[in-house]
Amino acid sequence: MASSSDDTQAHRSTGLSSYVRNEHLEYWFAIPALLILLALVIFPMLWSLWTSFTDLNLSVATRNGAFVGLANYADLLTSERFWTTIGNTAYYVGFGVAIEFTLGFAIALFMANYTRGRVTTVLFTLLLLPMMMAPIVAGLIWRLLFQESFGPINYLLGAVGVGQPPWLSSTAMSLNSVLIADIWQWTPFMILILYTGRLSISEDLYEAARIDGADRWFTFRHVTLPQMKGVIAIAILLRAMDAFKFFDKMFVMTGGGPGTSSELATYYNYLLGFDSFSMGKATAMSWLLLLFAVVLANVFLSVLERGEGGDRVV
Amino acid sequence: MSVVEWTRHRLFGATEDPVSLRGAFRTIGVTSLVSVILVTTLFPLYWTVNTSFKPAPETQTFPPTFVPETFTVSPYVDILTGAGSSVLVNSVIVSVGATAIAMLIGVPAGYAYARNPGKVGGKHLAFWILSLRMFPPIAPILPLFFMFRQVGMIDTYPTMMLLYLTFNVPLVVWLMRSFFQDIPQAVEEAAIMDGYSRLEAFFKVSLPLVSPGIVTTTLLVWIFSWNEFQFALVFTRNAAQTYPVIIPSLVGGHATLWNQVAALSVLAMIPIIVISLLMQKRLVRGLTLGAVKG
Amino acid sequence: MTDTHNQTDGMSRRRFIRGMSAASAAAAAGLSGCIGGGGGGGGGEMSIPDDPDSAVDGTSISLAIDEGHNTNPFQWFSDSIQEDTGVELGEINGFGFNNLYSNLMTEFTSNSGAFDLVSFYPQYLGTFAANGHLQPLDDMMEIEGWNPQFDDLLKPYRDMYTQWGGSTYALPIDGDVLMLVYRRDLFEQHDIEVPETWAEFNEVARYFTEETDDIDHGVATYGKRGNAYGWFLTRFGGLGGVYFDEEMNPQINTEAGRRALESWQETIQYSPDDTASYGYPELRDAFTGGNVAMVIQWTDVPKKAAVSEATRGNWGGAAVPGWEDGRAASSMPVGRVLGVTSGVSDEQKLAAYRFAQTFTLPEYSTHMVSDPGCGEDPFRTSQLSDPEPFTQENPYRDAPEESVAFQDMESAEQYTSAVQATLEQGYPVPYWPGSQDYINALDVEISRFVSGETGVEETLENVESEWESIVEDLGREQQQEYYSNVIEAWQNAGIWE
Repeated sequence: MASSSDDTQAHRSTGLSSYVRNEHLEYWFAIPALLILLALVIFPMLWSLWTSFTDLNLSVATRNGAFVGLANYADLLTSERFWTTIGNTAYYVGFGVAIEFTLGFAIALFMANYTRGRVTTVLFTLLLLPMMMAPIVAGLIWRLLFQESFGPINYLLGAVGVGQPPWLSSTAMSLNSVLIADIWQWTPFMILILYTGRLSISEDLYEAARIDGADRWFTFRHVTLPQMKGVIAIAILLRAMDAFKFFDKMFVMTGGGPGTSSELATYYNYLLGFDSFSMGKATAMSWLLLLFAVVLANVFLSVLERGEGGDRVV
Repeated sequence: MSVVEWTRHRLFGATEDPVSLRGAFRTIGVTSLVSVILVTTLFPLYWTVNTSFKPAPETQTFPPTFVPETFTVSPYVDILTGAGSSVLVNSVIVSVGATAIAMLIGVPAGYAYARNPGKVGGKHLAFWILSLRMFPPIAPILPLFFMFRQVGMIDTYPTMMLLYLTFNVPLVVWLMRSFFQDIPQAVEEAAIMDGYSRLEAFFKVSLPLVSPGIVTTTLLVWIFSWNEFQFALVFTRNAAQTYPVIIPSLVGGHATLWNQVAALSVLAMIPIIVISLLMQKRLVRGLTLGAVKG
Repeated sequence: MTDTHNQTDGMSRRRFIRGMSAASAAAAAGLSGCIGGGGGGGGGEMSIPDDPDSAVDGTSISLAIDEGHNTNPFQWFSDSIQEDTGVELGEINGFGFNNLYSNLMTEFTSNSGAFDLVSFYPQYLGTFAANGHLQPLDDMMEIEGWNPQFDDLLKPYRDMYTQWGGSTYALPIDGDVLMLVYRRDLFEQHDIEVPETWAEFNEVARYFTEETDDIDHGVATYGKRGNAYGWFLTRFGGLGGVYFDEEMNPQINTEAGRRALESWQETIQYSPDDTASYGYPELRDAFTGGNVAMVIQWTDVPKKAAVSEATRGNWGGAAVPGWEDGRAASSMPVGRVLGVTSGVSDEQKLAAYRFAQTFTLPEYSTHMVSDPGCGEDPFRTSQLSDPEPFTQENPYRDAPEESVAFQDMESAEQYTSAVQATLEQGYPVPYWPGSQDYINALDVEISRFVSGETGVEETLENVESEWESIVEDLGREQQQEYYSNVIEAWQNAGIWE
């Protein structure tokens, strides 16, 4: 690991203890973390990469891990269910994050402009609560709220006479219902981040805009938006990643049904692995999902990196 | 003083010019919008608490009761004398242990990447560590299961603590890197001039300075570990089963114990609520991976 | 942040990553060696000691089972069984109802030896046995005094729930089949006969839903993913439907499949709007909560109805309906059996078997199948021929007064005769290796159908093409072999034509 400049310094020090204490401090500090991640992430993922090229199926003895090339990938990419679940995930992540962001941004700007003092503090505290709930709990509570025969939501909707949607029992609604629970839980996240981001914009900029006679829209377009670009990107990407990763809410609310109408890709992947025990296919799907995640992550990282060089959001 | 004016005074302080019609509308608008936000946010939470004090049959009556008709604490008693207390204890042990290990490993690494990334793989490796947090957990779960099974460590506390490192260590490294970056290197250099070694400077100067950041990171890591479900579903049985795992079985296969689910959820949320009341803004910086300074 | 180290950065990172990759590749190769693709079948060899009774004395075993009310009997009986046999039930590991298969399979394939005794649904029997995860029990059943009294088992359970490839792998503890449960009070009040055909069934459902206000709905149906397929098979089987032909071509998209779904479609019309989201507990509660006039449900539901406020004394039970031009067929998807795992020591195997064998004996199991505090149902001839225990307390309970299912002999007799009738028409579910995939594919499409998204034709076509590709995927020849063996066993048991 040592670079040439390190080497010259190392010559000057004597004994292992001073190595640790001085020049190689970073090295010793970072090694445990890197080793842990190597053992717990990289190594398993390499096993999984290898398995994805085999026919390993733990429920059928004859499928014992022979090399099949790209067959698993081909099977998946031509399978209707794979694309259904990818479509569901895209819908869930896309609409979920878009709605959470729009609502969150609007409320954040509203709070920044119109609430003060204690109201803000109270709002802030209460808005943290949904996020602190385990997603699995939030999912179950929403399943209770959405119960069509005895849940409070349809009762209230019935009372005001606007119909009673089949929240969990129709293929058209089921994914939307999970989405609503997700929006409830994570819009506050958007609010808090964007609100904090908005407050960190210097008041001088707004003062200057006011002196120039700019109207609200102009100020929003040319002061607020550009100043918050970095924060917005981070908020959106963090949410997108989490929405992509977890199936907790869907698992308890609909179990993927009816049919596959609310089945998310990560859950289908779980079923391939832990229900069909079709390990070759399951690991292939993991890698395909990872590919999507890596693309998303790269967008995220490049935004962060740009932030570091420029207006330094990190 | 009119009602509107009084409300505005209470809510926002007397900063606006007092009696204009516009101000009054504005106050009404703001108040109703705040109310809508609060009601939407709080109703599901209220319903959880409400359900947790109902006897089982009342959780499925129509029309639903918005206040328990028969108020009872038996859901709490039942869940705590049943599976609830042991899973909560397990959750405490696993989440606290997982947090401690993640901090122990992650804080020094965060320091390394803040001070001298070039020596430990550079910025790109730091980004790569962060990107591990983006992995869908399902990807490494399969092989990890076989690994831990081979060494006979399924359903143990250490296994759960280790597994949680996969998403906690990247978080700690990244957050702590950001917090250490806020501390000028000159502070350490001054300490070294005074005869400290770098290790001493780290422990005696940097670490105390960064302690607010450590608190934030610790809490965040703890919350993620406390609420984790997918790893726990696959890796726990009995001895190390955490509370999110038993929640689906209370309203799933054979049972519809909504009141016990609600009671367990309330119990599980209490520690987090207390913390979020105390911490607030600090948590925001953590939740954004340090991107927002707060 | 300054980047003074940029020149050295790239070099060291590359070297570092290359090192890591090499190390992990080596490790990955090692790991893959640990995971077999499933054993050759047959289970482990074991030797029986001269004095097995003293060999198991003081041994502690661990059990895996689905979480919830079905674990209760193990707690009720374990102390007493320990006194009888010296075997201690050390640990009960509960898994989610729908996660049992995943958790057991992962344990088995990693050869963990974590459980000595496993309770599971017989549909997994073939997969577990063929992959060598279970211990054949035949030798242990021969030990003097260790007889599980198979003569007293109801025939379908004995022949279908216990055997694979000519060996015995499991002991039944729960005899679930689907049956008809109805509101006797309402039927009498409206002078309605218990339906014997699906046409009559739909007519009764229509009547209660549309023509009276005495109850919300005539019927409700299972719609959630997990077990919805069983409700389909119950209709499909009665029309002479079979799963595959001899060449392993799916026989689902046939006249039998079409008529079964059409009839069910009509039932769904008279069900609550959210019936597609009903699993076992929702469907049970719809009946025991007094919202529907009848349901097709598992045989533990009458016991629950008998102790529920809305249905106490008002319920009736009967065999599932049949077809005028066919027969009645009751799907048997979720019973329970106990198997001994092959990956543990001989001593543990003996102790696990001894515990299971004692547990299934009438002196214990009869108190469980007659108790509403659990989901286990009658599986022995003696448990149906003598209804009296259903009116008595379970002496192994801490609160015996809660353990009486039926208040009078009449209810108990009605229950046992309904179960008997429905059992005689049992229709088996696939349970050969790989059948989990067929069942899941069917189940997903059925749940879509119940929600109303797909029609009859589309559902059948989808299942057919999914099954086709599963056959190809798993290997046609081997699937064909498994299937023909299974059919042979079913024919011998007299539950297949």
